[in-house]
Amino acid sequence: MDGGATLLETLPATAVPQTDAPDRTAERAADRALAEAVLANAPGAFERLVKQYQGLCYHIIHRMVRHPDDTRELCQDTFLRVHRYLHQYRGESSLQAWIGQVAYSVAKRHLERKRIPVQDAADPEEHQALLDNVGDGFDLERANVDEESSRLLHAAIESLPPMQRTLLTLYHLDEVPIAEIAAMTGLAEGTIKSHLFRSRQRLRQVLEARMGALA
Amino acid sequence: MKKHDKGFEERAVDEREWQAQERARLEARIGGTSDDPLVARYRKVSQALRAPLPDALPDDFAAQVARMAQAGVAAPMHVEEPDSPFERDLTRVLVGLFGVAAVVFAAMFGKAWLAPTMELLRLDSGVAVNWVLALGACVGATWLTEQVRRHRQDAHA
Repeated sequence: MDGGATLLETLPATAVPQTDAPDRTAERAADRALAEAVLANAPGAFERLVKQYQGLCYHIIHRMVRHPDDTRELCQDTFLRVHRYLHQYRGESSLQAWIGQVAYSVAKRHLERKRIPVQDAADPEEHQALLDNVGDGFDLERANVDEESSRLLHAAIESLPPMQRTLLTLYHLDEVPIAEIAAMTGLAEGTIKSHLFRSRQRLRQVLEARMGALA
Repeated sequence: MKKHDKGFEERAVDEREWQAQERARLEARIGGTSDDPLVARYRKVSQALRAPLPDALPDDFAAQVARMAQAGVAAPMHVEEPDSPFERDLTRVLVGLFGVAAVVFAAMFGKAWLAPTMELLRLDSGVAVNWVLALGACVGATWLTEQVRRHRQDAHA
């Protein structure tokens, strides 16, 4: 279940965004229709599919590998693989989750080949030490505080391990529910929740440690 | 397959703080300002996490990829299919069978091979030390090359 669902129940009904309560049947039907159109070689169908999901694919791969040229190449590989294996898509999950899974798998393999760790060791001190090194170059006393805190946070996000960066982006920026992130990454929902919690907690601690130095 | 690491989950998540993080995430998404001081501490974090990423894909990316797919361009071979559980199990069984066969053959014919091999490589003389040194040099050179390669990749990443 999406960890945000409990909180959504406490918000005014008018404020609840539709993306958190999707009509899944209609979505799946649209996904299957698009997949069938691609498989039937309908003109423009695959280009439409790429346009629809290239943002998600880019976010996943960029957050994992960071290198712009590698990201472009791996996005291309992802969609060529999607085109080749689309006949295996059964419509049991959303097309977004299926394509996200391919993108994540492609990026993960790329990091493994380069022997870059996908996630950190589950050692809080090691994680803390990593983030403690962020922002040493910032001169907070002389700069605009809001702008500097934003820059500091972006640097801290960049310093997180690839998996944590990717999970945060999928959840916050792409608004993908935790269950769907689990389908993409193969991680348990509880593990994703734990990664999100710890990463956000560390980011807050980094920000407060730096901003506290001003007081 | 999903991993089950219940201990890791329970150790890491404090429910009240999780709810504050979630409230801050939703405020960054749909607006509103909570009075909860813990939520306020997560406000900047949530705003930073919603900042758009620079889009480095070319404008005609979709058209390019569609043309390549239409032309039957395959994804590079180095992007491997994730191994299925069946493939992994099959690999393990085959490796196990190979190991057993090797042991059986060594037991059956080992004695007949040992003496000529020792004689050929002159392992019963001082030459054996040279073989060991050569082997050590090969292992050392391989290790050093790998370290240099990894260092360059880390710098690149």
